[in-house]
Amino acid sequence: MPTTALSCGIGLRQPHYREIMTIQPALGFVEVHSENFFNPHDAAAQVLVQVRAVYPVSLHGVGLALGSACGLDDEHLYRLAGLVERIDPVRVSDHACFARAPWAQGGIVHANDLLPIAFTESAMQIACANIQRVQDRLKRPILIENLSSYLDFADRDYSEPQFFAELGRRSGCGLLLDINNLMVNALNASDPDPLLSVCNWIDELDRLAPPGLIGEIHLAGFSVQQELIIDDHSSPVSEPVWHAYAYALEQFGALPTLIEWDDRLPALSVLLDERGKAMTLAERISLRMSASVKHSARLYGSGP
Amino acid sequence: MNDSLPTSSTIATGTESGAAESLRQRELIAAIFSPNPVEVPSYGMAQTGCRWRAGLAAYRGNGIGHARSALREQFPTLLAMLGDDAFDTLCAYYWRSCPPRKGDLAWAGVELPDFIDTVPELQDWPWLSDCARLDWAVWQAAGAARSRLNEEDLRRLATGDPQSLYLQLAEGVRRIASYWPIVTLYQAHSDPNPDWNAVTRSLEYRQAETALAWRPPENSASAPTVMALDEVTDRWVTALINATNIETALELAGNAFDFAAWLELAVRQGWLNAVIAKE
Amino acid sequence: MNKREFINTAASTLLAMGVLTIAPASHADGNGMMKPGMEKCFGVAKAGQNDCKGISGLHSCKGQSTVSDNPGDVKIVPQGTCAKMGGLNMKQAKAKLAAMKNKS
Repeated sequence: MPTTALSCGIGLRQPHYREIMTIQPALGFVEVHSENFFNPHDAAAQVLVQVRAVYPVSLHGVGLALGSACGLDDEHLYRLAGLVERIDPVRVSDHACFARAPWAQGGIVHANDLLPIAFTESAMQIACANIQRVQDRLKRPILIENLSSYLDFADRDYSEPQFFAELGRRSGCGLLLDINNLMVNALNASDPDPLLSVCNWIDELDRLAPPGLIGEIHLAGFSVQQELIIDDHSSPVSEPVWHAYAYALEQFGALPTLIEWDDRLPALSVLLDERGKAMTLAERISLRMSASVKHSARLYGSGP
Repeated sequence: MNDSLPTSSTIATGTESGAAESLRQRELIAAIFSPNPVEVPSYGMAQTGCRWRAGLAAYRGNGIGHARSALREQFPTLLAMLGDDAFDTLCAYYWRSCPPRKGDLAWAGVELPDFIDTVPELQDWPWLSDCARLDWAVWQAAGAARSRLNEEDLRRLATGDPQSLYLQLAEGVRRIASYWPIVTLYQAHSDPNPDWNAVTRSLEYRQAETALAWRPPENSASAPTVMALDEVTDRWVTALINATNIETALELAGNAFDFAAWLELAVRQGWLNAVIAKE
Repeated sequence: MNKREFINTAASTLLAMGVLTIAPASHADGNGMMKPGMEKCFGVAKAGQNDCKGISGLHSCKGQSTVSDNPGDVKIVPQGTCAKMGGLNMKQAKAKLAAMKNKS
């Protein structure tokens, strides 16, 4: 069922709080980073409760470290569960990454970053076990986002789209498809035609994915550094990413879409314009799809 | 913010392939936190040479960047005292020497005050670590649960026997004792027109101060607040922190302590969480 | 007045004054508007010295584009108000630290 175009949203960032709450623009949802709201007692927690009274909130985590071979941090999961209970979010997501590992001097380190996992069968089993623990605790399926990775592991039993399709099948989780991350990876792999390789990635996922695997799409800007492209969310969505987005919508239909912007944050109106662009594309695809459904319905004689 | 919970649950990685995942993850983290960039790719990496160095640099820069922005929020006095460059360098040393243990950056600074004591270049400013302890206390107070004291509590205090009554402090109340004028330093850095001569004098005279930091009730000035404790009040507060009954705490505080005045201030400032009766 | 009476009286006085009934939090109205006390947290308020600590959010999933990965062998040279207030020289500091250790 294609969702309405209104389910395009923006990231809620502190400099925009007041303006958003004052003008209350039409938004399908707002998204926040879960860890920023773990503490139920601080000022940020009060803001989120007020925002939640106006908008659906999507909780996007950065710290569960679902691919960590040493397992999850119980305390982190406990705090996330508390937040989910307080906010009743429309979606809960985190990344296909690891961050925790035993430290030579004892204990476990959490790198506070989104570190790459290997696309191997054993990494699949680790991620499945961790994701299932989270889903059991939260009593809901979660979405897992594909990374921008600046390093990769050589061993692999799956391609990346295969990995996410299989992960969804085994654990019941969905995919948060970050199209900018696909583009950043293609560029960093020095791909001769990055847009083509992103579209191939999307095609492969489309062939393999169980129905309804994708629960949300992320769009953002990247920046060109000396040696690498960095996914720094500091600029408008790039042209090739818009093309890839349109291509993904053709395959999967309109999906809840987020404009992510974290660094060098622009005026709210700029963010809303970017969201408007996503919405226009999504609406156009929805219309065309419903037209073709009507068309085939006429062909096969079963009225809508 | 304070309740601690069991930390980790482990997934069996007994299989050979599970062991490979553990190894590549441990090695990549070791390279990210290594004092200097590691030239040889860690176990199982696809990239080599300058592509490995660039990828590793991206992760190392990310980590330091995250730590730096969290620590700047958590230690405003320390930041003002050190200046941007020295603070950032300290952050990088700290990040590598005391890697974070939690996936919540609200805890990023938990070991920074103790770490400062180990940095040779900072030994000429021996008050810095206590100033950092006070910054950390203020940061924790800002996110602490507010006082839950109610009229029932006061009625218990109005009718009970002080020998079996205990005053429980609110979560955000922190006492930091120092051999240095940490409250004077803290207040100078939140004052738009500080008297630096007075601050320098208080350092020269080695004016020892004990700070109390707390989170006031919501309807008053709600920013965390800091004040200096005099010796008498400090004995009283220390007794309460050590969960001493009211009668014994009063004996420890001595005759100069004005209980009625302190109690009124405590209720208005949200220092107390409960009056507990134990037989 | 004995100690018990004294404490009981202090608490009764506060009850009579109604100190607690004026203290409780006034919660936000339900219209999604910010409480007046929190106004300073929205807009460009400087985090650090007020109740908005941490409200700007410590976490994001972006990559850092401008941070050097190896501030490395640089010495820490305090330049902020430390420079203004001066430090102790090493000898004084060591003597001071030794004195502290003896005390504790």
